Amino acid sequence: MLNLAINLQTDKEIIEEFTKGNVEQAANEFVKRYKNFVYLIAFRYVKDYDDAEDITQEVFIDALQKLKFFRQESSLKTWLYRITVNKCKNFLRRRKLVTLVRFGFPNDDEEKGLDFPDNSQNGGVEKKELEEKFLEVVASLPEKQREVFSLRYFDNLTFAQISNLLGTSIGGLKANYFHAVRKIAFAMKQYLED
Amino acid sequence: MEKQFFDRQEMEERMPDYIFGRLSKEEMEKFENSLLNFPDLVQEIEDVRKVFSKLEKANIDKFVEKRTRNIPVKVNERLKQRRSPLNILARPGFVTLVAGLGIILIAISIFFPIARKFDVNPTQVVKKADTLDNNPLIFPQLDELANLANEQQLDLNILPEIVSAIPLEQDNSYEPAVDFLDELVSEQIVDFIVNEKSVGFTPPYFDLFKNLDKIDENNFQKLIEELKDVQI
Repeated sequence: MLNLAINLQTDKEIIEEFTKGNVEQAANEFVKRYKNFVYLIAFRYVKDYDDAEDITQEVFIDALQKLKFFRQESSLKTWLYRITVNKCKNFLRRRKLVTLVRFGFPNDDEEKGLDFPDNSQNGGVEKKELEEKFLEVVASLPEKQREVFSLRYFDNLTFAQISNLLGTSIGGLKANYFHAVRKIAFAMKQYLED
Repeated sequence: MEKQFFDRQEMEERMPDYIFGRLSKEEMEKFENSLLNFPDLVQEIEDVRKVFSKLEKANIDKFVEKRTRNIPVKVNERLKQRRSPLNILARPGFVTLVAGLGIILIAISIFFPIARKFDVNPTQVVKKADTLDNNPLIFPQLDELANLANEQQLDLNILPEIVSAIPLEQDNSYEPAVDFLDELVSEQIVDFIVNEKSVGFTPPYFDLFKNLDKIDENNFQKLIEELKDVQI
């Protein structure tokens, strides 16, 4: 009961609490704080809500098992981002392999991932929520554009932080950001007009 | 001196941050002043703003929150499961350990029958070889062969048959030594012949060897022709 009163505000406090042995409380705070961040990254990569949830759980289980070895040379967010991207890439590799074994080589359309409903044919019956559609449009962008947009728009990271995560120059990131915004606006405008 | 206006590329790089209100005050002023030079961008900014104004970031957060609200509980449950002593399979390293042990067991089960079959223990081979060198009577058949050769003025043509008739020790567990024994038997027979242990037994080809340089070409060719048919 006393543990519930502890208010862990910074990453450092979470790690300290975890190292002290107050595992459950620290873990809970850690997951609560970063679950949306991890989930959105996972969704952007795997383009499936359920798979994204599974991956999010896996990421936290992995991270919590390694948390006491975390050296704090980078922020927890950066560390989690890397774990999540690695997990997603492994997941996609496995999924591609399974698809290959079961159905042969996927065609280009399947590789693009998301399958948006064609509202013009379905008369808008399967019209999705605006937010869901927006997330899907973001997820369908090329990887660099998608990541820089998401990290800047959703997670409010600076270009320097994003550059550190993605290993791209700040100039390149800004160009990618601009193209991402332009593409999203175009796709969403079409969706809204339909 | 710093430029008064942004160029096209600089404008595009800053456009999203301008729309989402993330430019500094100075940059925003410079951006707006520069916009006069790029009327197409003015229209684009308007379009983007319209779209994103419909997308409330708070709604997206709510949408994601709805999908992730159970994750802390699920993670906690899975962690508890993993920590449970009964759930040994989920422990990190367990699968690796089992796989490693399996590989070792398979390697042992393959290696030992092969090792037993070939019995390549070098100490045993040397011991056996020593015994053979120091005790030539281990092959009593050789003495018999010598006696037979003495008594019957052995014809060399039947020598291969006699050699093949000599029974070797039937010990399957000592197969690598068979070649060695074959060689030894051959050596002892040759030794026996060369040293003329067999009384009155002079293999005819010995003279031939000594006189090879005296044979003319025709005879030598005939000799080679005859040797072609010899079966050893």
